[in-house]
Amino acid sequence: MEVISRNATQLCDLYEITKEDIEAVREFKPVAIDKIPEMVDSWYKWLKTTAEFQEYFADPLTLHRVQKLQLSFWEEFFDANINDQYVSSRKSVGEVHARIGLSQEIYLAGVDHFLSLFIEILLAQDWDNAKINKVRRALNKIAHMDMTIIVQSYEHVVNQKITAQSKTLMAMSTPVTQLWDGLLLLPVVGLIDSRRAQDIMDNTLNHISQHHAQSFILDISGVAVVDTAVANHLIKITKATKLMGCECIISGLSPAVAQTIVELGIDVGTIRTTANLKAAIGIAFQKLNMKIVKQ
Amino acid sequence: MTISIRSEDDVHYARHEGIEYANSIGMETLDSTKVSIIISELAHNIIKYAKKGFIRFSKVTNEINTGILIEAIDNGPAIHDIEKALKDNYSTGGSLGLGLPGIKRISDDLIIHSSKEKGTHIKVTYWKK
Repeated sequence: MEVISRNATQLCDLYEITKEDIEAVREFKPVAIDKIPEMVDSWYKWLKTTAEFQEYFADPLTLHRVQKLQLSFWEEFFDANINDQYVSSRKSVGEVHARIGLSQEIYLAGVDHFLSLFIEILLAQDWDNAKINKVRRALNKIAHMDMTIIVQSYEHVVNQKITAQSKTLMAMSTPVTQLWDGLLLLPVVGLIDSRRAQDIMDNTLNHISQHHAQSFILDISGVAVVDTAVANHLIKITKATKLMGCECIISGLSPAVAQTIVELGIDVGTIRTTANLKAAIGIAFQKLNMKIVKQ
Repeated sequence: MTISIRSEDDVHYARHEGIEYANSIGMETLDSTKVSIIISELAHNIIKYAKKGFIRFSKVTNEINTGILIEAIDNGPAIHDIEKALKDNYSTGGSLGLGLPGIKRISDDLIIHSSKEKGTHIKVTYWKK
């Protein structure tokens, strides 16, 4: 999923954070900042009640570091210098959470905990209602902006993790092996998309030229869906192998796949297909003038 | 359920959800395979012609049977000639040209609304066999 990336000014526009808001927060800073160590303590007590505490914060050194980070995080918050550096510092918080696997739930609950403490302090001031409301609204806007940046960068890292995983899978996914002199086998498991089809094509053709293969078996018993796009890829692969003087046999067509291919109206033409790998090996050996005999 | 389609990964995801959905309304392997093919063809068309759009599926029932309604919605350049698009081996996108005619054969009902102003909205109904 593509994420629209906003810079600091655009974010302020989005949350309608005005100069007045920033001034209101800055005005609140001297009052709040004295109480922050206390708040961090209260937050720590709250954190201790959560299941995540043992996993992430049990080590005193880690906890100390996290508490210090909390202090500087809120100091930055009250300074309200919302520029690109501010945004990137928020982004890195989300990235850290995602990498260590700390849930969004605990982070958001933590922010809410702090916000409620701020409001408590705010209400204890003998300011008039209008001023209190103004500060409260400003706190909310900036806190929500912070949360969005952090949640989005969290999502970004998670997406990157998924991409990395699929790349790893892709790398393992086209193991062309030589079954016998002149006979190659590639079992395909899972999905065939255009990336993977290209991968199969490149890998297969390279192996054919390396091993001077005359027969190539593409086993698709592990492929659940053969739609017209997949069929198109398979047809192209068989055509290319044929051009290199190698016959391609597609094995492992399940009953459901065979039926849908017919209903879709795909013309498999001269492509050799078999229901299972055994039959395909039989055909390939015949072509190589070989026979498997029982001793 | 509505799923945004922007890349091939989304096609896989939509297909995966579609199979689960088909199973949840009591469809078996052959039926859910066909449902997944329909979703796949529609979603590939979205990417190929409109770049992005949505796949939506919902349950339909009548007195005797249950089925699934699969919709493809996009704001792409619209299907120029619907009659031709439903003919075998006609493709403006360099593929086999069997997607829409294939869907027509597999499904029980296929309705196509397509205009430059409103984009394309395809409705496919598949009844449990």
